[in-house]
Amino acid sequence: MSEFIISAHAMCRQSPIDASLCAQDSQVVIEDKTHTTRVGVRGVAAESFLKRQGMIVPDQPNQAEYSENGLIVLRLSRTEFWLIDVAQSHQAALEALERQALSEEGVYRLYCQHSHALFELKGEYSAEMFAKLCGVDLSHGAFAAQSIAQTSVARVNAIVVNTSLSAQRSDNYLILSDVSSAEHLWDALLDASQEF
Amino acid sequence: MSGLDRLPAPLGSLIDRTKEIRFEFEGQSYQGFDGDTIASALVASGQWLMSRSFKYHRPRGPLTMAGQDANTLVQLPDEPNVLADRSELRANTSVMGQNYNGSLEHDKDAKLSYGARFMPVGFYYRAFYKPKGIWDKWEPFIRKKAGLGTANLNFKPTYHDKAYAFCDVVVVGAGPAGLAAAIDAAQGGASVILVDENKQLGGALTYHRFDADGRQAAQILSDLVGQVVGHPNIRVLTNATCNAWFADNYLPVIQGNRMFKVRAKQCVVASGAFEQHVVFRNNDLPGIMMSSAAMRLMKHYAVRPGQKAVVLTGNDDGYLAAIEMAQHGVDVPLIVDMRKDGVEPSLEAAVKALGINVKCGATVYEAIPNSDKKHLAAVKIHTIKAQGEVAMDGVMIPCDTLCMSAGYMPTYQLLCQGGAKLQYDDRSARFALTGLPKDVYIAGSVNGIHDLNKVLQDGKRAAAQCLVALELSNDVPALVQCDRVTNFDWPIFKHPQGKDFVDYDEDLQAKDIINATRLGYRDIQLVKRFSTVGMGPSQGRHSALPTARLVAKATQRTVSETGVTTARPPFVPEKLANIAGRIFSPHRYTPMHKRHLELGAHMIPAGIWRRPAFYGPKHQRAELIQQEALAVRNGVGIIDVSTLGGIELRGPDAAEFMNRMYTFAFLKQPIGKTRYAVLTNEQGVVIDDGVACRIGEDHFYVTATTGGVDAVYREMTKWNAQWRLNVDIANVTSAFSAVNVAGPMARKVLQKVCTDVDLSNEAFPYLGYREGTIEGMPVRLLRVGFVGELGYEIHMPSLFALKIWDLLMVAGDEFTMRPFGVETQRLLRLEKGHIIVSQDTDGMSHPGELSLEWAIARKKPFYVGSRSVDIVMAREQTRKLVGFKLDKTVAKPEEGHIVLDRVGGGANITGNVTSCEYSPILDAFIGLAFVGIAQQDVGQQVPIRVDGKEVLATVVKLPFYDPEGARQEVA
Repeated sequence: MSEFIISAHAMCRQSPIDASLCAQDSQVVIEDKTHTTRVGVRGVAAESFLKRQGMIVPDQPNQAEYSENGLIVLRLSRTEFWLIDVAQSHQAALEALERQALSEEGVYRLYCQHSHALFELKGEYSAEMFAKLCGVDLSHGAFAAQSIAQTSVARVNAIVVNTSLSAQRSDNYLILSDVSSAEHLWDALLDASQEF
Repeated sequence: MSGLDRLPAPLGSLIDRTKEIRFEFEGQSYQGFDGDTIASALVASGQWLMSRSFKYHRPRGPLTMAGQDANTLVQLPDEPNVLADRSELRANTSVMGQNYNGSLEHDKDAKLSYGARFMPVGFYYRAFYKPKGIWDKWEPFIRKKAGLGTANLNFKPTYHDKAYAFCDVVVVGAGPAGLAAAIDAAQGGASVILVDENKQLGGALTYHRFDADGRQAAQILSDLVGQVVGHPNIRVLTNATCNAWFADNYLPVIQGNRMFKVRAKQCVVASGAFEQHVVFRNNDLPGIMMSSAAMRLMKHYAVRPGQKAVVLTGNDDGYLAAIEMAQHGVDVPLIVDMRKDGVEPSLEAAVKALGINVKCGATVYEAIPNSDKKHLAAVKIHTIKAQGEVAMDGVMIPCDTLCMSAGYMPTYQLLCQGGAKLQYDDRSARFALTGLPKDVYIAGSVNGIHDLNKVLQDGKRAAAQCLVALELSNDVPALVQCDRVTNFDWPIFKHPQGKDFVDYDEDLQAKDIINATRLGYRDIQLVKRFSTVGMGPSQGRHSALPTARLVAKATQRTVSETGVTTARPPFVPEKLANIAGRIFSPHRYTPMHKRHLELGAHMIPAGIWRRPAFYGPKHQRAELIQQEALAVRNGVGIIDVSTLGGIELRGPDAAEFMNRMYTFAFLKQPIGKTRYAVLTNEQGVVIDDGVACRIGEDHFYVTATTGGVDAVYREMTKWNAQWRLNVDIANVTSAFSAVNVAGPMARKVLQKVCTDVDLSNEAFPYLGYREGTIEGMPVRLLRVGFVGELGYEIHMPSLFALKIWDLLMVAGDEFTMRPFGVETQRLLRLEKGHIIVSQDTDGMSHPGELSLEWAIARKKPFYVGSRSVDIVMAREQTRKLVGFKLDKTVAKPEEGHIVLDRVGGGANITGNVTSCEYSPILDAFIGLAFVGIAQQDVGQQVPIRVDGKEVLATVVKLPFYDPEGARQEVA
């Protein structure tokens, strides 16, 4: 079979979310980043593979590492890693990494580029807003910077990442959730953010 | 009527005298102030009658002014059963009384009171059931009389939601103990949520008088509230009711339209205590209230509770209430102290200085109503001779207000929900709560502490215990002791003429409780159920203690031995809207959802997915399905099949894993080929099917049914936890979307957009698998024949799917390609004789019944369910799934209609219809049905019961359409 690179063709990606509906005026800002590039790898050799590619990977599951260039590495389990390029500035590198992963023994490319929607959440009241949707305490102190919660948000599975810089209050989050229920989650987030 | 003439400030802490509010009660116009409750505004206007009692329709007025009783239930336009003493006044609201016949003032059903002797306790259990059929006569009458307010069925639902709230310490109750606990816990570094049902912080500090001078409470309140407000570690929730305690300190707190789901590491319950009433004749007349109610009227609303008041007390608090009233212009001629020894000298001197007389060792034995029987006019005072007994002669004292202070019962409900036990010392009449749940502490009057300084200490003690548990402190605090006695041991004076109410909600008198025990209901739980005591809106807040005392005495036990009834959530009535909250009903859309809507699709649910059933208006369903089917048969159609499940298996053991999971053989499946995959469970039942594509030596992509994929994925991961094969299993259902382009023109459409794959029959035969690109976007192509025509399933990464759909639609335009829905697909596949697992199968269907023997690899050693399949298929068979055909002129069978073994009486059920549609190609009804094993032969006539009548279907050979498969070979 031919090469099947799914992180390629960034311009052809279409998010199910209507971007004009973004909650920008609220004190909680929600942005749809579904169209940005991400790659996932899993397997017994995934960690060593990423390290060989020069990536800094978290030591523990449910932790995130972010580099100065904006690339975020999520460790979702002992052997599963997602690389998130929210700023959409590492397209070529991630595409190359995916291509490289296909030939690595013990490394399996994951399809998070297309299976998950990605939302970015900012604002002082983010944790308070989240409390209307999620049973995990995401407030500063309880959910530290670089933490990941694999939980349920508005009754759909979601991966919530605290991407705040550790010196600041926790007010930046990424939410990754099944792309087919993205509109439901988006509507729930917008509704929850109304009061802020 | 004007309710604006109030006592001077600073009384009236809850009202804003600059904002007048007009409202109506029973059609009359009234005035109040912003901050008033409906009840306070009415009382300020002299309107004491607010409701009628449940059974006897006796006039009732405010009892607690705190929403702790059912005496003030009123009807609002959109809401019945509103507590007028809790509900804040709203401008221009029309308030009505409820539970009356005629008018509130002239309730014709008040005559029921005269028939009370015919309605003894539990009478309804012993009436209405004989002679046979009499219930039908009684039922309309009882239904009319039962129930309280009226629901507005035109009410437009309002927005309610829920939110979690997390903290180290939750403090329930913001009285002095709660405030002290919250402050100390917060100062110690804990995050605190402070919950109180009232608008103001402070609890009893806002209305109670703690000393003769009346200065102590205000000073302490100001100090405590000052420390709480603005404290960075304290989140204050006022007007918020903690309605239950659940395991691990999970507390629902309702504030307005929001339910907070509080998760706390530690919990301090400082819920206070309910003041208790005295049981005597006519103790329910409007004008008779708790002392705390009179204090609330004055302190919160600046309303004078009456002109002339008598205080009936069993503790010192009655004296303090008398002082408060006397200082605010109420004539208080007498304090009746049930205690023999009365009060301590300084307090006695203070009341005497105000001209108030004190009579000790006496009680009110009877309240006398005024001429219209709707308000208190006088009380009869009798000397107490022994427990519950009074002297024959009494003294009549005219008054329009009677304040009762019999003592306090801890607000134990939340704690007992958590398993705590309420203990009672019959000698001292003191309560104690024991067996508290882990990480729960109590403080203040709920803990039996009533001296204000001790209450504050107790709050601090509870906070210190929380801090130790949170490892924020090592200082284990000492327990706080308090000797102050507030409960009179027997405030029950049964009157021979009755109307001595134990339970106001249910109109239960002292004799009702005693009679229940005489009828054999000795257990307090049985007394409750037989008499309904404690089952009204106030849930035993005032009736539990006198009931326990009466039952204990009647059964020669102690109150502790008798106990109280079980406390269950919710603490106060809560609206279903609060429980439902904002409803999250997740749904899944395919990337093409918007296009389907644009094309006018009639969408139907498929699990939580939404799928097009067909395209066009619902009323043209049959016609549209036929048109779509013919388009596929004669030209080309496209269907969104993105909801199909997709699972990827990768790794050296992928083929071995497939071979163990599915019934077919997969070890030697060629790369680039697909194979039908049937999944059975350990019982040998077919639970799913799909198409397995071999992408590489170590790489399979297998589809699963829309509704079954999650279970299949779960099964796969479960089995591999045992097998430990070197395979990675990934559920890629959402990652890949898919369409099926089907029909004789399908290849022509596809080759316009997918130019890097040779789509010819030779290069890409039926059941082949290829990968290619459409405008550079990678796609997976499967040659399938589910609908019986040349077809290509195009599986594409989901974020590309909409773009590819649009490209295909443009490409198909030349061939008048038509989108078709899932109902059309069901018809097409039926014509081809393909089953749908779960529609044409049930929880017992094994492969043999479904004629799927060809999909089982008999030679391989194992697959999940193989042993069971062998066993069930070796047994004598009882049924078979067959195709049937019917003339289109007879009644059409539907899914689920039963198949019989013969026509006429005595027929037995042998099976059921699983699918049936009208086939435009065959111009007949066709279907699949389970039939008896003796009915499976082609040509047999099988009776199907359709709407009560049998029709005869003919068993036919499958498939109905294109048995040679020639349609797959279209050039």
